Amino acid sequence: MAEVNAYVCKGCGAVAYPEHRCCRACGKTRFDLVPLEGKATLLTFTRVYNLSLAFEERYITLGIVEFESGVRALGRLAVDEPEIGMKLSSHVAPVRTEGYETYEGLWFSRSSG
Amino acid sequence: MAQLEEILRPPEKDLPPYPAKCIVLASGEKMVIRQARRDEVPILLPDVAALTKVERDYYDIVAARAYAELLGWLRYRVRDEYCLVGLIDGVLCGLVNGRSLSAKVGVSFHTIAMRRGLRVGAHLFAAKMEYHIEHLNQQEVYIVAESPIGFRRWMIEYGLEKRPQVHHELGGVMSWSLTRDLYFESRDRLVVGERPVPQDLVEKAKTILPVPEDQLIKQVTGRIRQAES
Amino acid sequence: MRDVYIIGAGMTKFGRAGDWTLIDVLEYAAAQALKDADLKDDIESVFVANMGAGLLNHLSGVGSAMVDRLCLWPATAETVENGPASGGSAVKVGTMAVGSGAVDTALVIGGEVMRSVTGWEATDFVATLSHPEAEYIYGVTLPSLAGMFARLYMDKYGITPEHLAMVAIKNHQNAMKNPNAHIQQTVSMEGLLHRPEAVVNNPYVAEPLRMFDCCPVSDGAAAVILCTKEIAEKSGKPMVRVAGFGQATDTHAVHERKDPTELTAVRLAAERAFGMAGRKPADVDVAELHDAFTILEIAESEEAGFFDKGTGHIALENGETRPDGRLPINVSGGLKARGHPVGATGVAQVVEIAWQLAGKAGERQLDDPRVGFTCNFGGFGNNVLCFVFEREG
Repeated sequence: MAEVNAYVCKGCGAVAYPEHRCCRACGKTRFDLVPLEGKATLLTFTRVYNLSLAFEERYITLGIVEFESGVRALGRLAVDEPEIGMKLSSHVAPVRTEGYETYEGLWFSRSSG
Repeated sequence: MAQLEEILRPPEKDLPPYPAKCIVLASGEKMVIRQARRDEVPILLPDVAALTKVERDYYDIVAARAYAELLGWLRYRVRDEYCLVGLIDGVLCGLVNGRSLSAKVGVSFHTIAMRRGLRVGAHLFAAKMEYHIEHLNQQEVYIVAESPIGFRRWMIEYGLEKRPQVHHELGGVMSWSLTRDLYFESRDRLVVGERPVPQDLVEKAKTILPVPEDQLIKQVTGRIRQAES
Repeated sequence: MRDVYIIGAGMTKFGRAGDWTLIDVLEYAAAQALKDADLKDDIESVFVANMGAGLLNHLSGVGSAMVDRLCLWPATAETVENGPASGGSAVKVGTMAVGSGAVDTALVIGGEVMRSVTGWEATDFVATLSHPEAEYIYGVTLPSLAGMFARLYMDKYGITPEHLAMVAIKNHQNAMKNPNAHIQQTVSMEGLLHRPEAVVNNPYVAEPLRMFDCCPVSDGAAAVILCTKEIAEKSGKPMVRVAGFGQATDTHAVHERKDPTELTAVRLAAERAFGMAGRKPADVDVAELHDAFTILEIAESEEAGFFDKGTGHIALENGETRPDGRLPINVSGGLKARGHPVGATGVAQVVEIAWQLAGKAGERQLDDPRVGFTCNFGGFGNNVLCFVFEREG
């Protein structure tokens, strides 16, 4: 099962996603990879109707969330009626198929806890 | 000769009429969608013929086939065909056609938009589906398309079902179906318009005014070469 | 840096290239600009702005190809790619080439042929601007990024769908006087939003943005000729100077922006451009902003300094950005109606300003504008160029 990883700075512990050469906080260039997962808050979202040929759905729902660690990410929302501020939890699953390749990424569903 | 004509002419059913409706387009212009009469086909044919010269996005084959269907209807050689036209101040901005296959099944033929950029084709296609499902009271409509772009949009928009065993009249390819259930699921976001049509618009829509050929080609192709001086 | 002037400008109509290739389209715009400039001096450098030659048209080395097509050997040549800001970047490097003294003349052409593929393929092509692992694979499209931005911006400042529609209505109206516009069709609030028919007329593309909140996919090209002061004076033509330019970048992944409602790169680029020009936003008489999405015209008008944050939509509502208003924005029709061949846009914005300042804008001509401004927005705001232009004499 694929993972989506955040980058934790070995120097100061700041967490970033996606990858950068340098830590934005302290400038150092060495990182530990840590799975990006857990509970998050929804910051904004959209239903997208005009998609690439890789998608057969009429629309998909995308959102930008903020994890409890403060790291933000974009992912697919498995939520019918999203609301800004709602609590979500993440899992990793296929997000796109191109020919024979399947790509996995972050999905967010309504958090039970 | 009358006996020969009887052999060659398909039996005709009186199809329930399509009640005209009025649609306000993005431009604010009012388009009347109404049923065309058989005797109006000669007015439609020249514009359809002109579009057989446009290769882009399968306009040529769509227009060529629609021409044959409309002429066939005029000359009593197609069974239970209908045609709906979209008119703005009487000027033709699009047409759709199809036929009734049986009491339960309809067949969609073609959709041609002469005015671009205002979703005229989308409105007319929806009107066609409305006619089959709500006015002819059919259970499903067989659909296929020549253009991959047009087809994929409807396939996704309406969530069409496959009918692999049904070879569509247009070239014998596999048919797709819009069922009553699928239609009513999508109806609210796809089928719009007001009835009855206000009387002044009814008057304006009485006579179909064709579009001059060079203007039609310009409208449909939007070619940048035209700016050359 | 030496002063740099615009001595010629030209463009194709924007729309559908048909059987014209990318090279044909670029040639046409360049030929128009060369004819307009009527230079006796040679063109020493060529910069071609384009994003999709490789992906869409199976071409590379387009800058070199244009030197050949235009018989400009042995001029120097480069292709400049910066997404939707390719045009702005090409004008910048052309200005720097002349301004540095390296060359005395530069031909800058921006163009795109993107209607040779389907709408889905064009959407996907533009989506390659997004972050490959953190955005693109999820099915992110440029409209989806604009939609997420718009939701926050509209909530924060009380902007309504009607305000967005006002941008479209204004720009479509403006384009009626632009024979080069892709779309010459007026639209109405009724048909776009208020009638029940709006659900079909103006469907959502990426909520809350609808079809008429998004610019079309267009083919076309635009070109300008840049030169030294001596050459400009010798020509006897109106003296239109590139007074200043500014550029700034921001995070690639939109979720990493410090404040998701701020277009920081626009603000910085505009500040830098005004700084170089020694001018302020209040000095500007006419502006071409990057309205790929209607929300962006409003947001950019604020970040560039023309209106206070959160008041751009009020200015729009009051008619201040109409051709007869205090600060006409997108008199050409903008990206929304003039069209958006990706590589061409940044140059087309400069062409419109050059024409306005030189008194050559035909039916769209404003009354003696002296200072013009353009904003060319790359990616989703992660690379932005702004320019200030001045009419001298």
